[in-house]
Amino acid sequence: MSDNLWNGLTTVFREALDNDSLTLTEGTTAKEVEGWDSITHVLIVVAVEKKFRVKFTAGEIQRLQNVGEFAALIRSKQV
Amino acid sequence: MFVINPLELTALLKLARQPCPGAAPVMRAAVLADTASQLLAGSLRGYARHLGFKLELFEGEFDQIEMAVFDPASTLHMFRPETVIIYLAAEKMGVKFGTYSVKERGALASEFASRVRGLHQTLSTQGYQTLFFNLADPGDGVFGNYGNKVAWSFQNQIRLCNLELARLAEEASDCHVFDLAALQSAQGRNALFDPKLYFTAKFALTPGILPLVAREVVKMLTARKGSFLKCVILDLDNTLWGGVVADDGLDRIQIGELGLGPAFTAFQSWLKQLRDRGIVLAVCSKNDEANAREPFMRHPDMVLQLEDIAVFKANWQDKATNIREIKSIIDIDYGAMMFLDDNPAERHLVRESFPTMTVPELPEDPSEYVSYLIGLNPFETASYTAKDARRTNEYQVEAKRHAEREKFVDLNDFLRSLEMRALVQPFLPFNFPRVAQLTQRSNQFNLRTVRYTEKQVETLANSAAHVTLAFELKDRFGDNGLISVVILEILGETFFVDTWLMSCRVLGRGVEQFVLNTIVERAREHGIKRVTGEYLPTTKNGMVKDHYSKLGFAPEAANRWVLEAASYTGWPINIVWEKVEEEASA
Repeated sequence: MSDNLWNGLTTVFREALDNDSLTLTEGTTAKEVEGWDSITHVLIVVAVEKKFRVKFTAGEIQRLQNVGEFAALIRSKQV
Repeated sequence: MFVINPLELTALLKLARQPCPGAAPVMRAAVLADTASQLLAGSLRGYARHLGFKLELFEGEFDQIEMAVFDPASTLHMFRPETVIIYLAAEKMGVKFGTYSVKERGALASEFASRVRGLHQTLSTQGYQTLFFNLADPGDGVFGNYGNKVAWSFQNQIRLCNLELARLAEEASDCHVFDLAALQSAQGRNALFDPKLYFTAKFALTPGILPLVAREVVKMLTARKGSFLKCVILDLDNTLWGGVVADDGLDRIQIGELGLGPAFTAFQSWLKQLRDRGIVLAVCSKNDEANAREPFMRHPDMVLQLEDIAVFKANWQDKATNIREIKSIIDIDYGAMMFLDDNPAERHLVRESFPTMTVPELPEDPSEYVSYLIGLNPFETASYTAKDARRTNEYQVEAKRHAEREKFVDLNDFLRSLEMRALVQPFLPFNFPRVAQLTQRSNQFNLRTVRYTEKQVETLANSAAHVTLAFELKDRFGDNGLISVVILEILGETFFVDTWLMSCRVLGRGVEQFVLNTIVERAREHGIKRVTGEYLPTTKNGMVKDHYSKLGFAPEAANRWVLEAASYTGWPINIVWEKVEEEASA
């Protein structure tokens, strides 16, 4: 995964969860991260859409459960 | 103070988590919604914090509005909010609409009306204010434009719902409407609503629009706490008209049809509407006064007339000095003033001199003035009475008094020339609202800053343990209305001054001395031997910290003074008592 994508995702998650020391790995799941609930999930989705200029579908939003899936999906949508 | 640029949602949520300074004024509200409201709640908290208020906010359970309102033992009622914010989402109604029969569809608005009326009535009985969001039309492609001709179309029913809400708000002073529909027409449907967030997470408002929604709603809440704009100070050349009147001449300034005249006419027309609803307009211009006044008197296309301007300052002093003089006449906090000037340097000076004043960056293009200012929605208010519209006139009278004052060398001569007459009455039903309003609004000349509601004023009026005094003042220039309020608590042979406040408009006229003479006279009537006064300092009432010692009270303890009635000889005054028709006592 490119550093750009990874750094960008980390920034988005840190901002949405208001946690500046948060570190992410490919396998980090929603359950493991404090504060990553259905509400912050929306904030993360909207911020990712804005930052990476991509659009998620409703189905994708519901499916996304860990950081690796986010990264993969963003990559697949970026031309 | 008024915030011009809304913050980002994440910044608001971060603010919402920070503790408030202890001295921040507190507001208590509840949010009830039939969609997910957590982010709305967070943004409201953040905005209130941003404006220096502490918002204690109760968040209702998702889609449990009726349960919370109609169950008297619900956590909502235990919380006892001042205001209950109710957000019923049009999208939710839209989804259900298709499941109704055609007959039921045609009755949507009347069903909605009984629903909101039922909610409001119950909340009103509890003494809460109700603040409804109105409905942002989601649009439906069922009839297209033809839907306007069909009574049971969704678009017609949604619009009727909004009219029903407006009707309720007009009838009930404790019911308010946040105009979400207007926000949608300004910002666009896509800014307000994102279908995937609605269908995955039940968000009817996007994270992008929430800061604007929060800004507006919090402004409505703080307006009820007395924080709103009351006055606009206007530049003239290139602000009220195009061009420079002294250089271009009366017939070449742009107003009416000449050049960009239509834009300036529209701007004046908007200001005129503000003036008619009680916003005070003042002029502050670097000009020779005669030149500055000429367009108002002689240009046929001017919408604003001299009679619309409460205070007219046109001279070569710097604007900060002029604004201080304007304030000495109209006595409105700098924080409740807006300054409009096309010149960035003047705006900078005013912003530096008065940090709490609202100084918008007017667009360079005058054709954008009105739409820019409307977009800020700076003139939120919590009340309007017909009396507000007469305020300009009161200030014009005050300006005349000031001019008169300058003619006299001796203060006493001036005071005598005013021919002041005071009417002293106890609290009576006709003055309950005004007395309550004064206790809530007066910050500077207020010894203990105790706030009373109308209901509490009524209780004091009927209390055997209190003597209440309401002072009205007239002079040869006009009626100043209710200008001072005193509440005396009878403690054995002592009057304890629970409340002593005065409108700063009548400072320096000997009203305090007149009031004290009245208090001592009442003391003697009641067989009271002494009067005890207390000063409770706030950030705003420093002007009265020596009030009691100046009036001849002896210090008794820290911030407490006492006056013996027997040895009091009375202050000489230039105010005569006005006799009131004796009220038939009940």
